[in-house]
Amino acid sequence: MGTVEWPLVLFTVLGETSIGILLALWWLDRTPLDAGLYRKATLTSGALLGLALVASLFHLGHPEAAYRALTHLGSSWLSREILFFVLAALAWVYLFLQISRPNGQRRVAAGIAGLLGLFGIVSSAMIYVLPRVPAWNSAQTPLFFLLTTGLLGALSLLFLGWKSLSPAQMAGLMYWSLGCVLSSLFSYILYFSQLTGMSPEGLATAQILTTSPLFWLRVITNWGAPLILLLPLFKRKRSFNPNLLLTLLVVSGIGEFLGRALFYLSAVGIHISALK
Amino acid sequence: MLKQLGFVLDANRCLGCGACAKACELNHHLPPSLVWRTIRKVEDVTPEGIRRFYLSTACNHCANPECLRVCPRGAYSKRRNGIVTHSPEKCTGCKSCVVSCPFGAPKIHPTTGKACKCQLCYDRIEQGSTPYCLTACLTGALQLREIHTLALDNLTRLTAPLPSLRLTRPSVYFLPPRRVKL
Amino acid sequence: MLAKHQHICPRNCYDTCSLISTTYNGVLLSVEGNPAHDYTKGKLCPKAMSDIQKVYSPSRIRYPMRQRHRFSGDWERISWDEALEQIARTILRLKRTHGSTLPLALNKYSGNFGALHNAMEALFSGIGPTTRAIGSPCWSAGVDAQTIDFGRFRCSSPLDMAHAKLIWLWGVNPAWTAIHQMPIIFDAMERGTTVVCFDTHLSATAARSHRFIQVRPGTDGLLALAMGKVLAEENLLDPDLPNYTLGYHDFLAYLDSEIRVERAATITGVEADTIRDLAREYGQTHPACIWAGFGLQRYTNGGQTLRAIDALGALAGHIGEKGGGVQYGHFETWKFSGLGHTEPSQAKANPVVGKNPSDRALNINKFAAAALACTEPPVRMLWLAGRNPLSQDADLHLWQKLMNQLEFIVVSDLFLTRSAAAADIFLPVTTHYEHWDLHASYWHYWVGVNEPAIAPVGESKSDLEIAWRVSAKLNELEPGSCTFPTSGSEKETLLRELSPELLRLLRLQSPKEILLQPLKANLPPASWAQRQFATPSGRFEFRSEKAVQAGFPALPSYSPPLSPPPEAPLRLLTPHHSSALNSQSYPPDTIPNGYTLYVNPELAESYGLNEGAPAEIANDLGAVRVRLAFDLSIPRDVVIVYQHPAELKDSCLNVLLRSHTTDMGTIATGAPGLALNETFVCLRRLTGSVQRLSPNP
Repeated sequence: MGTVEWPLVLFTVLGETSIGILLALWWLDRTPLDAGLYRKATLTSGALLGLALVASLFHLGHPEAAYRALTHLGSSWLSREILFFVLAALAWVYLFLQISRPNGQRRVAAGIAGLLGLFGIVSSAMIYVLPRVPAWNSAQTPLFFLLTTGLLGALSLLFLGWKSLSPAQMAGLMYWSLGCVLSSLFSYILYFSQLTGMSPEGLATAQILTTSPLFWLRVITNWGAPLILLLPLFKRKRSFNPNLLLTLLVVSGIGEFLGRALFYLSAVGIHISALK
Repeated sequence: MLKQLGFVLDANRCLGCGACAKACELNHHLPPSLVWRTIRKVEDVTPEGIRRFYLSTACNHCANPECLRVCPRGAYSKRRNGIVTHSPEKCTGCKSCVVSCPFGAPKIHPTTGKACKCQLCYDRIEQGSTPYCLTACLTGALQLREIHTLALDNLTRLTAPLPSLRLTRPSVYFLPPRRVKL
Repeated sequence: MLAKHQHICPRNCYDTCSLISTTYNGVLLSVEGNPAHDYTKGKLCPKAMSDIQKVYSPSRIRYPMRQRHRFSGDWERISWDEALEQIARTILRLKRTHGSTLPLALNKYSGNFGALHNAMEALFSGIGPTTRAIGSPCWSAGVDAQTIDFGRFRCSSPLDMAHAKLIWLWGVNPAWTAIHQMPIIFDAMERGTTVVCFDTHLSATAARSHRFIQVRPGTDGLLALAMGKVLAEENLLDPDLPNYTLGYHDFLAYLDSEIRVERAATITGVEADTIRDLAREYGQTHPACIWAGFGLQRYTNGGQTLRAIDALGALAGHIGEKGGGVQYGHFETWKFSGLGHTEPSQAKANPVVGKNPSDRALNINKFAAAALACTEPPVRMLWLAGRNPLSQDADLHLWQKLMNQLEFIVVSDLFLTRSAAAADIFLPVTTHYEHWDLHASYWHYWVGVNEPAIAPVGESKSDLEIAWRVSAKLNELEPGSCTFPTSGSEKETLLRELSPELLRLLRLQSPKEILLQPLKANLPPASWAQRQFATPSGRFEFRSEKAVQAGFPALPSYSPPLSPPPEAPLRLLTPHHSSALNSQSYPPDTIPNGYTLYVNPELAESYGLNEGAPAEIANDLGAVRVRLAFDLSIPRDVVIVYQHPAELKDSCLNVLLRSHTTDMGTIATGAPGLALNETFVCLRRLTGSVQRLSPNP
């Protein structure tokens, strides 16, 4: 059984939210967005990215030497992750400079930062695609990381832009969020059935999950509550209640944090002890 | 072809006494919570009889080491004689190697916060001596061999539950124990 | 500054390893094996590898201490002078009050097997006739059996086993208790030697053997006799028997009339066909070696078991064979001078030297009961050295009673043991890295000197130093009250311990030569090679007058072991584990958390208990909490606890042990041994109720 790596939980979930916001901005900016919203969202994204990077340092035994972790790009996904996140952070600075200018290239900048961040997130996920840990060793690991990006990015922007976004844009974000929640739920069911049928280690992971109260809390916050909260939004498309949107964001955020914590907690490494 | 040194354990001679692990612990001044070599008791019973034996294992100095692949800092390297070494000065303590090694060889040192593992006493080998574990082994069960020149007919490897785990190609072989009828 | 010193591991162990320590500025840095030793070959077991940890252990006691109330743990540090003063004054007062020194008792054994540790016995002899623990808790019955059969008790060099084509490891588990023998056995296996292991369960050694023969506990003697009968029936007897044995016709007649192979098969649990196969292989393979372990003879019929195995070896002609024989142990190299106080010990199979002829001798295995029974005069003071009876002896309830009624108790030891909890005065002793000593082995032929490598830790002192100081204090208070020396040099004393006979065995001109390196005694590698025996007849005695005089049948014969009483249906065996030696644990300061009871899974199932379940084993003497572990090689009427020390707050395993003694032991060791394998218990589920569970039908 693994341990909950809180610095890593914070880093991945906050980082993914930050990148998700940038990507959502880039997508919605096809029809130019309100400058105030753009600024608010960019700053939120930047703050989250900054927090994420600080959290990541707490995972290292020697954070002062973190810069050196860049040197093994040829084979190490961790190296690539660090590289892409650092580049994404630089791209964010570029984005910030663009939005501070009247005719700044903000869409190009957001796109670059979002894309680099996306590479970073995939690299993050690939760190855990390890033969040793059956619970991690599948395409679902990057999928989960990307779904977190999609869901929290969209929900964040939904909350930030409830006043200034057009109904169509709001609806777009809502459908996207719903899609993420449903994909997450169905891919998790698939993942779980593979887990139980795979190996003793997979079974052990499944057991850790189902016996943990955190897991059931996650089921509620990550899938149950968002589905229930999204439905009334679809009914009353024109009058968005910011409290409802905030609740949706917070509950989903908690669900994603729990999900990531369980991801680390439920890792069961294979024991190679027998001879044939 | 480059050399590949590796451990060979004769399970018929290993008594699980722990002298190898103790010698490793004492000579490398490992703190109480840290071990580089572990001994596991294995029992397998069939109608033909019982095999009760011990596996003394440390780092397997894989031909294709996972630690070396995942380390973001290149702290791991493979020497010309196949020994996989770890340089603590490059290590940032990120634990990538710890979670990825299928054999659990790298561990975080409780006082330095960096990874560490069996380095096959490479400095001793270079001086023409043998690793501490081998020197301590009372029965000659634990041996160090050049893997490429080994006759593999009677030897087995560790079994992995998943084929993908074979990818690291651990440089360790076992002479399987005979079965004793109950 | 780096310095190297030579040592001998002083534990009560077959291997008695030769060690070399390295110190830096008087601090112990490392301990390694001495490669010059042809048996231990520079290799150490993990116990000895933990020595530095032991020497500098924080729980080691570094100063003399006084306990205000026994078992209170209320200790105060005192000076050596205070301690010696109190000891000497008590001795002199008891002597005056009772008009005798017999109220003073010494109970010492194998905590450290060094010759200079016999200083305690010599000190007591110097005081006058005293009460002594005699005999051995370990090997007495087997020693007597071999003394009866061969006339003396000796074994071949362990290296001689390399020549055997067939090795029978009978009731011995060298993989855990004599690990340096294993490479010799493995090498022989690689050259084609067959190794068969006889035991009650699949021991670590059995698991490495070609074949495992599971024998019901206490029936090994019958198995040997049945195989002897097969040898006779199938004409596989040594044709030379008439030339060097006595009474073999009588013995064959006994086998013919009393032993049935089929019946033996039922009793021993070894199938008749297997018995025949084994006997044929043993009769036809030369050389064939039997190594008979100590566990075999810890039964009420233990001496007869060894006699039967000796007889089997003789019938097949393996006695005197290079690479053959029936090996058990020896005392040939223990020719110490006895610290100059009495005649050199006559190769007694126990290290009791310096014994005063008018001492009151109590069997070490029944010490508490015997000491309580002493009235004229009663035992009033007890000194425990190299012993931990409150953990390791039988009759713990009687020990408790004795400890409560004694006037004065002194314990000299390294740690606050379970027995030390009863002491009024605790004296800290040195380890073998802090004093001079001289050691022999009861298995191999090497003798060596132990040098001090570091100064005594804290204020600890060697047994010899303590004995001198006690004598000095006694003489200071009452001149002439103790004839033991009052001071001296440990090194000089050691050199005087080499008797002329030992010097001859070691081929030394002067004792000083032993200081250079350990030496191997000049003994023939194979025992009894000339087939001239030390018995009264000079022959191997199937029929022994000595046995008859000691009250035993003249011939090796089978008598069954004890049967379990209905209320305690399980036989409890308590073999040594590789990580502990009696009440010493390794690494030091790591006392296992409670006892593990190894049982057959079917037995556990019949009690409705799962693996890991807490339970209790109990008999009329007491109860011990255990946790269940499964071993399917254990018979369903046997349970096993590997002995190790217990935390002082927990009840220790020996509360279950009654002092059943072995049949033999008196001839060579002075008293019968302890039949500790005749302990019976019941198993209870731990649910708060103390109701005994019975197996489901």
